[in-house]
Amino acid sequence: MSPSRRRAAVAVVAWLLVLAACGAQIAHTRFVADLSSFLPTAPTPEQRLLVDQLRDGALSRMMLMGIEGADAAVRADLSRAVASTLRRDARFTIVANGAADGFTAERDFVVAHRYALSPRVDAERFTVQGLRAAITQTLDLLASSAGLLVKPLVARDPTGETLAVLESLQGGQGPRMLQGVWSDGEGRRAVLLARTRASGSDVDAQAAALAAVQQAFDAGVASVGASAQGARIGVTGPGAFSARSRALVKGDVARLSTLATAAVATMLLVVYRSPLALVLGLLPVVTGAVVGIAAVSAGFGLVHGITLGFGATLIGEAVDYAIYLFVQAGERERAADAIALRGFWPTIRLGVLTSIAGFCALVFSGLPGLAQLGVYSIAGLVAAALVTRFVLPVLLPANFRVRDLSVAGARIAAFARRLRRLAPGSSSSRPRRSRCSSGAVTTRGTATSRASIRLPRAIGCSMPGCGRHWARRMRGTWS
Amino acid sequence: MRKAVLRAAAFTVIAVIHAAIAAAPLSLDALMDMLRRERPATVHFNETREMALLDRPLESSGELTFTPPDRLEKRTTSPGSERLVVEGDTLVMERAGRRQAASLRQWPQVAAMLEGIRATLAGDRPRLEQVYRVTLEGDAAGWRLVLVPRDAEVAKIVARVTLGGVEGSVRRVEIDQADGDRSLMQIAPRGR
Repeated sequence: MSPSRRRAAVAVVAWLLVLAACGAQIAHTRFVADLSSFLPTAPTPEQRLLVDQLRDGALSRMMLMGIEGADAAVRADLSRAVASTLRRDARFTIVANGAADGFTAERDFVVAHRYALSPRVDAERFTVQGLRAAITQTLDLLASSAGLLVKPLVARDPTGETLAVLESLQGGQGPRMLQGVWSDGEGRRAVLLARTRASGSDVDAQAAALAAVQQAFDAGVASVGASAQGARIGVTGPGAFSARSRALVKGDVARLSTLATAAVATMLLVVYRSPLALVLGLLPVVTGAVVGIAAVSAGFGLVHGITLGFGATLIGEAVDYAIYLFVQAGERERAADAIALRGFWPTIRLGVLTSIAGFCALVFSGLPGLAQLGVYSIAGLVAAALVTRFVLPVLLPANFRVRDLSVAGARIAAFARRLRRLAPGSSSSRPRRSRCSSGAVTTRGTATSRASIRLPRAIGCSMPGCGRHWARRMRGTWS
Repeated sequence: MRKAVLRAAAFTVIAVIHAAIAAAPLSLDALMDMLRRERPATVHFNETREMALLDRPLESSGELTFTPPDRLEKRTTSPGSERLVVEGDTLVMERAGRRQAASLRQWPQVAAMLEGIRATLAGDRPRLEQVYRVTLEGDAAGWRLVLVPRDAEVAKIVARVTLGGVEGSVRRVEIDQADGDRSLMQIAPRGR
């Protein structure tokens, strides 16, 4: 085995080992999606409270439901049906629709902790006078019309602390009651309130809870019968928002990224003329992403969802590394790959170094989320560059050549010139030339004059400068 | 125990005497007619509650107003001030500066007791029989209406409601709870 082939084998094996190690690290990585990573590392108690409440607070678990349509009696029946179904569902801790039986668990809790919770308990409460006053009050209550309701409690709670707690919890009049359940002010919809066991940031659980509500409602409609046909249920609340917005974002991301991937893949296929090269071209980015996630996971203990999202765009430039390599490989003979490397490697090295310099600023940020982004990008880019430098040349097919698109490029450029002549008032006196027509284009500021890259003209046309030029031309045409 | 036996014996004797001397036994429909014809009025009440929990009965008094078909207002003046209004399905209680509204559906036992009084005052036999099994004893000069809840859940709390009266006016309401506690409300025209 020649020294160069041995080196190639070592590179590939090392790459595979690193990938395996990173995979193992990622396998037990915790991914989070709440905002705490974008708080300062030493948050004030207020900031901590805010994030805790946003993520886990009672309000974040609230689900508001409204039943509309049909008549009030049917809505009330549906409200009771939904409430009784959801109360049996372990995913909900509280389901309230205004009916008295909705708070059994809470009432038991208040009874059990009455002395700790009661606003009336103080040192005086258990003196002779205090007890006399409290018990006299209880006796008055027993003699009143509410006596029958109070009686079951009196033996356990002779000083009436449970009622004191319940009274202190009662704010105002509460929602309007219609047919024995809560209704909105106009009496047009029955209102229910539920609290999920899962926290509001657990979007999967929130989505499941949403589905459970709809299911309970459908079952209720089925059991009430034909009179409930016009009724429908609306659900809102933080959990419902996050579940629905995630579904929307998911749909958009899936659609747009499918389109973008298809467009990029088509273009690269046209240029590379090799599906294998297309796959190889993605290796640096994929490796970079894997190493980046593993690095963040090892350094921070958890990976934030936003790091994954933004990090992918930050290390997206690694796609270019493969393009540089392929273009160079296409222009020189593969037999001299060492020489070819000498041509493209300094370009990539410079690009990686400038990017690292930029991302270093993120690493030292006080916000863990930004620091994660910095670590992710630096680790990812270094890994991508190393894969491009040592692994890709080994895997590239011997006869690989990028297709020469200069003819097509020239045609497009000529077409652009014709278009420009069509634009009124700008045809004759513009000596400026479209940059599309120049053969060599420097890309994204990462290439230097020493290592400028000749790109096929079709690609050159998509460069930002050209886009601006085009936009200007088109505005001139239509205005 | 002995007291209860004596009481039962006394009731039996009274019932037998009533039955013996009644010129014409009163029918439920006839009683309902009389109750319906009674003009709305505000009456005075005096209520005594006996509870196993307490060694002495609790007393309260105030005024009652019934407005047909279904509005019943109870204003307690002693020992504390309290106002209770039942109308339709809604129950409003004002006490110690607080006003609380509730639906009768939430409190089936309370609803049953109130309905026993309300439907009797309104002379509404169907509504009364919807909630209770009704038996009537006595004649127009002294009748006794015994109401036993039909609903098993209600019967766990309220064993029996007994109303007594003369012609179209109700004079006493006795509620026997399932746990042995009982209350007696005596009613007299106002001012007496």
